[in-house]
Amino acid sequence: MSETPEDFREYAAARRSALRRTAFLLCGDWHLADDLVQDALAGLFVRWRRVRAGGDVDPYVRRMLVNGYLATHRRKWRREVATAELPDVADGAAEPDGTREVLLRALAGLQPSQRAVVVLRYWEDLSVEQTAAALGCSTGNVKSQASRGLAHLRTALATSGALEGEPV
Amino acid sequence: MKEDEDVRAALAALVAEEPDLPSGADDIERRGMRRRNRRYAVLGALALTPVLAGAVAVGVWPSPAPTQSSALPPASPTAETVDPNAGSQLATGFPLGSAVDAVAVALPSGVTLAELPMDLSWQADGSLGLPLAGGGSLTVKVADGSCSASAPALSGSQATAVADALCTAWRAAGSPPIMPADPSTGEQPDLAAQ
Repeated sequence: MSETPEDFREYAAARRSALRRTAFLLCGDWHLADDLVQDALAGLFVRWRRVRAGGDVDPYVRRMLVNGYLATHRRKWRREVATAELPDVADGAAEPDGTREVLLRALAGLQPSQRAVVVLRYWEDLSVEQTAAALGCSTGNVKSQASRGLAHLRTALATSGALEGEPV
Repeated sequence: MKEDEDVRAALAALVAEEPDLPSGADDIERRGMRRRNRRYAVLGALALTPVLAGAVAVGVWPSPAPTQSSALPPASPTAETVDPNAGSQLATGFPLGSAVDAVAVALPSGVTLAELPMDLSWQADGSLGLPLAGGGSLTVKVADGSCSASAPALSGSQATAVADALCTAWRAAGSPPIMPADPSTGEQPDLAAQ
């Protein structure tokens, strides 16, 4: 791989783990998250010189990641199916509080674009404008989607008791 | 503390149990290489498509069968010696126009040809009668490779000059035979009577 620019290697090594966590919050599956990150970084690899010259590498990769997730979700054979009941529900012995399962279920219950808004706004800590740019939508849409998604998650967390100071 | 800190904390808890990363970035680079190669292949295919379509079109386009041209006999050099009048309706004898022009030029001053009759033609003995403007007629003759001219208005030398001019024109035309005209209309057989 002598053709690979060294600065791309450094960037990929530095950002891969963070991108992977974002991808997991988007899709809820570590394996699919790895695929999404690989796709995004592979796309970045092809356009590395141009994107780096533009100086906005992070927003570019983030947008590719979100687009990849939304594209995966649009496919009929997508690997994640949002259901009211998770197929494998952990028992109380394995996970005493069950908050993780509740939160995963709550995230899966969000619309894909709504979920992307929540993850970008409250995990990536992007501003409304940055989130709108990453998703290619209006700031008003981001605000309304974030508000509804946040309310949905809070309801789920309140039901599980995680917001009353219980360990998450 | 931000008002949505609770949600941030919950999201952080979800990724807390992150499994180990696949080692190295080689897989990403390989995937990137494959993607770039696919892009080049697509671009190459797009560029080659019109070229291939053109080649196919040229191959399919009907062209004259080479066997037809090769089956034709080679052009014979003797074709150039064929009489150019062959196959035409033109007479191959000494043209009347050439004879009249040669005679008119050779006539001495004061002697000119009158208006030529419509039935002007060579006679069977190779003579041609031309009316003169001053009256009378000039008879020229081409026979046995020689020419002669006689008219009451011409002296001997003048007649010889006319004969020489006629012979020059006749030889310039390739010494063609003197072709008498077809029988006159009155001599033609009456087809209706038959």
